[in-house]
Amino acid sequence: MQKKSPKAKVTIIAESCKGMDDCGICRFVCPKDLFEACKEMNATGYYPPEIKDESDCSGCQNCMICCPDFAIVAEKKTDGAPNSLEDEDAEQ
Amino acid sequence: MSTSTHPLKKYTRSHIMRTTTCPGCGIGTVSQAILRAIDELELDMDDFVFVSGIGCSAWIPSPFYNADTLHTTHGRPIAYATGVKLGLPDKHVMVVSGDGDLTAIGGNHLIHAARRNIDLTVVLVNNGIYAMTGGQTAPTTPRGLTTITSPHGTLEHTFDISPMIAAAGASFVARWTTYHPRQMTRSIKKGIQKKGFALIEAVSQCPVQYGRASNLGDAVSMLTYFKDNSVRISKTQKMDAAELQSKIVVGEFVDTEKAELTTELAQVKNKLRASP
Repeated sequence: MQKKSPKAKVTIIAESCKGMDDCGICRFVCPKDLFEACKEMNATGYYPPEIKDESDCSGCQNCMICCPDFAIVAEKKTDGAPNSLEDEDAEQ
Repeated sequence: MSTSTHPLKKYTRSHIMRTTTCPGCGIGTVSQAILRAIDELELDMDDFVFVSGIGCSAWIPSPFYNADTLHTTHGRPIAYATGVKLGLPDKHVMVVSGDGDLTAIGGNHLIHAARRNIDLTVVLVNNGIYAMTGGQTAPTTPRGLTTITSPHGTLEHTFDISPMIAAAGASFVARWTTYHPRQMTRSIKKGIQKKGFALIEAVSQCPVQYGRASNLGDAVSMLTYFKDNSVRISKTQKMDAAELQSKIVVGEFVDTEKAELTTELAQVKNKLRASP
């Protein structure tokens, strides 16, 4: 089967992250469930996430917008899919 | 490793590597919403003065934002901001602080700034508890919640901030939770552009203090709670008071145009100068 191309390039800034165990907001807001805990600890003692399979990324940028520690960058490659967080009045 | 930098990093002081908040705290999400609003409006950080008080959320602008920041005494950021705005009416003056700071200790400043309709943008981060000092009962704590100062559950009723400020006469009032960061950004944009008093109440999770007190636990379960319990203001007309008791009403409460204090003051000054 042909691999899908990811809609965004997701970069995790490991040194800013406060860990999947204590925070985990990225895993919660990702509609494709792409985040899993990394086995490598960062300089402040937290385990930042890593991306399981980037090709599934829908480009919604939820992870970047919700990350409280400015630790995720999601650069859109093409027009992303509509986000999964409630955004009923987006067209206003 | 990629060398990508965060698109909002250009608005923060370069020597500050990470936020000061606990893991999972919603304050960072609100911080991003503010910077994203400024970014989308293409405004210059040099045109802003950020004023904050004391508490966790007062750390949002100071020292993180690369702009003029004023970290003031407990409860008084709106009083300082009023002075800044009257002295420098061309600046965008934004107050970023918490519920304990702005509604408990500085409650009257908030109400009267709304009554005066002075052109301030107030981002009020409401986590429902005094988090920085160890989880004491705040006026915004839900009734019945057991905290370290209310071991048998708090007996007091909860302060409903947004409707109160709407009643006090603000030009723009909106409430969102950290589960609604896009809507929050949109409301902050409207608040900055509004000539008049704008309040954006950001209901935020405190997994450390509130999470423990309410047994909601971690950040993710608190966000799930916000997701399940927030109701759009447009849908509340059909609901009765009992139904709404445990809900978080989100949306834009007020969006109106009315006479603004600094403009009125300038007009009076011009009139007096013109008269012999």
